[in-house]
Amino acid sequence: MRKILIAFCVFLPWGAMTNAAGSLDTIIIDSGVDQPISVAIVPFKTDPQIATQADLADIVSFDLARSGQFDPLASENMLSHPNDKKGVFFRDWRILKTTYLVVGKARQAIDGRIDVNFELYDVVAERQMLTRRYNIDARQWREVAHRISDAIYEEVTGVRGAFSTKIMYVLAKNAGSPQATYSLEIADSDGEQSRTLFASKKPILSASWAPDGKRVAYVTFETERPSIVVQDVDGPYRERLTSFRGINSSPAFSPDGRKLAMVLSKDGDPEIFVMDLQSRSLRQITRHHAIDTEPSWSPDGKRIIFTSDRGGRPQIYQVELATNLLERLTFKGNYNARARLMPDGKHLVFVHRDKGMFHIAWQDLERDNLQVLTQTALDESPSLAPNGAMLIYATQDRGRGILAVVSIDGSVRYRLPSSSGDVREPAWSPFLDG
Amino acid sequence: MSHLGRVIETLLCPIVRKRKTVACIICAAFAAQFSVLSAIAAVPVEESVEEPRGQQVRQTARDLTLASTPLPAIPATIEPTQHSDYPVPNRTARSFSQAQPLSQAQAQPRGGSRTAGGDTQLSTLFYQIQVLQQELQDLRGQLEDQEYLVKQLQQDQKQQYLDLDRRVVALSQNKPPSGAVSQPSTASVPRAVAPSAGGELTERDAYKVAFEAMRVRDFDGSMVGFQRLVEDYPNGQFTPNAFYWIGEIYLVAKSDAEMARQSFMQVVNLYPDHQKTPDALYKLGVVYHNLGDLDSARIYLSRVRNDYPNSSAAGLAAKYAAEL
Repeated sequence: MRKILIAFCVFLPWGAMTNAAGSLDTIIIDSGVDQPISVAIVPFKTDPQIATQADLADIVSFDLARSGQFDPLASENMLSHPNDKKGVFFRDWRILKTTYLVVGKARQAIDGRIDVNFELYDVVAERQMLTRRYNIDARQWREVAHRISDAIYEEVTGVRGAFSTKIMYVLAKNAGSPQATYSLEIADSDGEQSRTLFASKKPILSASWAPDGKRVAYVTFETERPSIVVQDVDGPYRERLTSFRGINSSPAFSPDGRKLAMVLSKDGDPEIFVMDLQSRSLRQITRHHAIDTEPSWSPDGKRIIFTSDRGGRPQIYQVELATNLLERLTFKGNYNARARLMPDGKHLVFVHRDKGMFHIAWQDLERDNLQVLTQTALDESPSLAPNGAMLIYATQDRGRGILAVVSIDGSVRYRLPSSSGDVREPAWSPFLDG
Repeated sequence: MSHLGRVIETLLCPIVRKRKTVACIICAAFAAQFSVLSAIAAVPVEESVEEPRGQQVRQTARDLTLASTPLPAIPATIEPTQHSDYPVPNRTARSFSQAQPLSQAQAQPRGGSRTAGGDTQLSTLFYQIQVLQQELQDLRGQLEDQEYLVKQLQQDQKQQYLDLDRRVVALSQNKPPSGAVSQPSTASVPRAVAPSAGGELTERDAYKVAFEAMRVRDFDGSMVGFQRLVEDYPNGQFTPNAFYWIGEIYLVAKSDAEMARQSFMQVVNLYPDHQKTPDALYKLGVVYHNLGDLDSARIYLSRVRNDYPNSSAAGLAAKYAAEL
């Protein structure tokens, strides 16, 4: 029994970062996997003039730790601090029961940029597994750390890392009062370096990413009537796409980025439409007097899954776009909503009500078994990481809206609270290349 | 007005069910529906409401008022055919839209003036439509549920047949059932730890379910789960772990040292290279101590220290041996 107890609490001593307005606080890790992989990330040898920023090794360690699958060794417990192959004595690391070892350096290059390199070693086999070199601008300091984490994670687990992705969320300050402000924020996947994309005195809803990660769509109430807005992440483009009478909500880009699914009630009751972004033509997908909402696409773009109460209770349905063939996907419980398909197209993640509590649940569509992933009471808005390994969702903690992350097998959990206000409506970005 | 309660319930039901994320949807939907409701509730329907559906409703009222036989006109008004977007094999998918049929009626306006009597008639009709819609939704839901249940039952039946078939074949070949540590009770316990879905679990899932049961201290459920895993996957990836945990449960929860000894022996003898082996050796030391066989206990404890000096079990074994 002893092992079981150890496995469910992994707390982290490091990672206290600054907290700019709008950013998220330090991540609180609640649990990790049964037997995390032990890894040592030796502090990088960093030229003094660039050593003002956080140590790359700390950022990488924290990334790997919050994945729940790694157990990084604290640097004060290391017997030596090598930064290249010459300084590595494998016996030292075996004594510390380290399975993998990462060493690296960051040097000021002549052109004012920074050269970063790292090496990953298998301690047991005493061999180098991976080495990479990066030439970066000083502003890409944290980004390169996340890219190193991605490389290590992929080399060791075989799954592509998602540390260098972003998360988008809505920060609400003084919600419910006349001074309420809402802002759409984009931060690194660890909650750092947040910046505001759009701010308003009216609520912002349903933020979602274009598949290339360069644009986002969301719903605003800036003109009293809700409208769907599409905006560049880094560019000047911003456009109010729809502002029909009634509901304009839940925009979702198709996997090829050419279409936008949405909910409109311009003809009476909420129905799902697909807009061709080039021609701006609308195609109506559902026609039912019940509420049809929260569309999202299958990874192949051939089907749309959505929530409908046409069966008397909200359940998840799927419609095949070519044939209009409709199929109900969820049958357990009397409330299932806001579904997203995993990248493999075979697993569904959604909000599931069980004994009056709203949880995030996961369902294998082929085997049809449902697994509840979260333990908090008011969980909503699940959004999957692009590698399908984790999902982020909104929940409540002592009356305050916070973000939380859980691995798809339910074993790893961490929280991203914000002391600046309520955070909600998270959306995990796709892989961002370059 | 006895319908009114149900109508309001009909209107509110979806609203109550939706949550904050769709709050704005609901508010708008509510607003739309509510304005219709108020249009009906107020007897002079004249100019107060601008909602298009309200207009449609009034328009329909005009049609119906003028029609000599208003009630037979209803089926025509809610003719579903051109709205059944989903050619699902069964007829449940046939949907009728609320807005569109009404606007059909509107498409052929007839002259004439409204009367208060017509409005009352209209209100009654509108209530009835609302009630029918809700009724239809509920029925659709029930049908979907039953369809799903029938499918499940078919699958279960097939599974049961295959299972029975397998047993018959095994019996006719005179092979004893596999699984060395299985107890007679196992067979009589239904697949308690398996999710009710009925689908076959993968080995990893089965292990996870059993492990989770142990974590929440459901030792009986967990035991059945691990024993089934050992039976179903005699050469599986998690089989040694399952043997180990069976031993732990016997040792800790059931205080049955002999059964624990058998399980730990399985790990040690069948999987000498497995990562659980040093732990199992250490536990054998503990088990033999419990059984009063101090010599055997010492032998196993020293085996941990000699064969696996770097394991965490070696430290525990040394400590335990010191206290013997």
